Amino acid sequence: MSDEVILSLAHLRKSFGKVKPADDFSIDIKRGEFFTMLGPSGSGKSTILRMIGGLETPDTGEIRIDGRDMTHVPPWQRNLGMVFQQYAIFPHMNVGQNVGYGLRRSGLTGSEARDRISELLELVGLAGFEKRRVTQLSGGEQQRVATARALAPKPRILLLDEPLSALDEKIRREMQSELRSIHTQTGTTFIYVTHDQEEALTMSDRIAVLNEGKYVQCGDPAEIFRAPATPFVARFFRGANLVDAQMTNWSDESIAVSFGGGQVKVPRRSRRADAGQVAIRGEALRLGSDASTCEFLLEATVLSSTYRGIYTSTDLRLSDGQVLTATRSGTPPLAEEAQIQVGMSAEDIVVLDADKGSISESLMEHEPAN
Amino acid sequence: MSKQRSSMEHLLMWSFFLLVLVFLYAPLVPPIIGSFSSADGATSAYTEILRDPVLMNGVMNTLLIGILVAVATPLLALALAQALRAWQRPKLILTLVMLPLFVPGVSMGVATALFFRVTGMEASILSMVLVQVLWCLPFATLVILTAMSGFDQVYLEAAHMLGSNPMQAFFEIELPQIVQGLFGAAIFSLILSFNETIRTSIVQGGENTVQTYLWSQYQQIGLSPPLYALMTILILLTLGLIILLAVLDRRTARRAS
Repeated sequence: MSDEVILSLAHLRKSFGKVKPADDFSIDIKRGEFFTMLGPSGSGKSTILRMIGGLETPDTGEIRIDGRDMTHVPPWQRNLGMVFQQYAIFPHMNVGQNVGYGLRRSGLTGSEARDRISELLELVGLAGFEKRRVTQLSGGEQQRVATARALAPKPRILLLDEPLSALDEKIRREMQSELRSIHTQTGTTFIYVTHDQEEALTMSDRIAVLNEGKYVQCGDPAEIFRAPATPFVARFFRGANLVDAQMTNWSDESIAVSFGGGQVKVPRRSRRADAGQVAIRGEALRLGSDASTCEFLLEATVLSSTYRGIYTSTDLRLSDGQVLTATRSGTPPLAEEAQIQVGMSAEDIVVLDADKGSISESLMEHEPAN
Repeated sequence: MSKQRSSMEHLLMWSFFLLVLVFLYAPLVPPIIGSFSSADGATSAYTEILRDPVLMNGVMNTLLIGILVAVATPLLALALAQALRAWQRPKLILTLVMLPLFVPGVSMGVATALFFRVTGMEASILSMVLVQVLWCLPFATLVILTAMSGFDQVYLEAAHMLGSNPMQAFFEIELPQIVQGLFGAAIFSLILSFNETIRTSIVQGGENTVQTYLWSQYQQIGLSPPLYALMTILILLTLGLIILLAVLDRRTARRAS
């Protein structure tokens, strides 16, 4: 990945009636990056991807690819590749003809095109499949053919619209690492759209979490996972606790947070911190004797504790009545109604910015505490 | 017990089906018998057809008109169906296109004849072709729309992303997938063209088709073995075309699955 910007979206707006799949959407994507747009259905991620591809036109705003304004250039002149959710493998052609379709107008000779087709089929693990009929392919194989076909004309950017969502769990995991390795081998810029948080975390260099045509947060996977910016993002990644808290003693670096009968100074992370809520990952919580070394200790009552194989999930009620769920591995379940100390480090308490917009508000279970 | 009952039910069902078939096909039998009951030998009625210059001219006209209609109608219907998909109000426009289905044949024939007279067009092969294309267009459009509804437009988007403009994408991706529908529409148009009598007879001018000839012979002279022979040939020809349609249909279904 270089620091050079390959794609620049500036102030994209698009509305279908009342729905706004893009609402002043701007972002820069770097050459060679694996960039993921993550969001629930209706967040606008697919429409923004289709606008990059030229299959939709923005109402206003600008799309620049390699510095050139492409906003109104038709898709067949953009030299981008796209993998569709339904794959869209041409049923009247065999595998080789499908992969070679994008080479028809590339000026390659017949033998050059044949070489490129077999090179790509090898890349996606389907070497020698040229003469196969597409009706004989499994879902995973169709997905591979779609990827090979999109990459054949050496697109400037590969757009992937939920390419794995039609596959079952096991094949989906295999394909995740294969797509990641294809990305590394080709060095092509990938823009990936998904609603699956795990998929986004596994594959991406950078993730933008989208809601209502805007991105709520954009950053590398670890950053987004560990320090969600708003309640919406925190809720999107399973396992985060959202806690109402009072915030006092504001400074640029830190903020004092009180909840569950205690107060602790936590890093501000340049947040507005106006949600009245903090997020704490369930696996960051320490219980009982493990908790004693933590910076921030609270008294809690065990509501329930369930063994779930890889981890044990424990619901705890704090003295202010709020409930935290702790996930710990390698420990037995705790007795119900037991009094226990719960500890966490200040780093793991993430102050949140308020979400804007109607969907996010309706998702909020509590009014902000202050 | 229950097995016996179900075999009784089977028997009943098949007998009923057989009755329907008899009802449908029995009226076609007398002409066939009639065509072989000529006084001077079994096949003389058929050879007599060949010796009637007016009828032979009608056969040539029927073939010419049929081919023109079968070529022109699917192409027009394809353009229409493509436009219907591209426009936002397909229902309204489709209803307008279906109009010839609802207007009674005589009214439509007379209206068309008047229209030709007002515009100064002579009755000819061309006027017969035009009136038949009008008649066949709704059917052909429906057949092609059905074929197109099975075509997912994401294929066109995939082709665009791979560098094909709309024209290239249509010919390379969509047409091969809906071409069976086009053949179906052509055969349908051919059958309708062979069958069409009323509208055609109003704008026929000096020319005859087999159907208009048959109709005028029947009205002026009455039935004769050569007429029976002609009807027999027409019935067999139509059956052949229907079988061809069914074969095409099965192929499309197999391809879809």
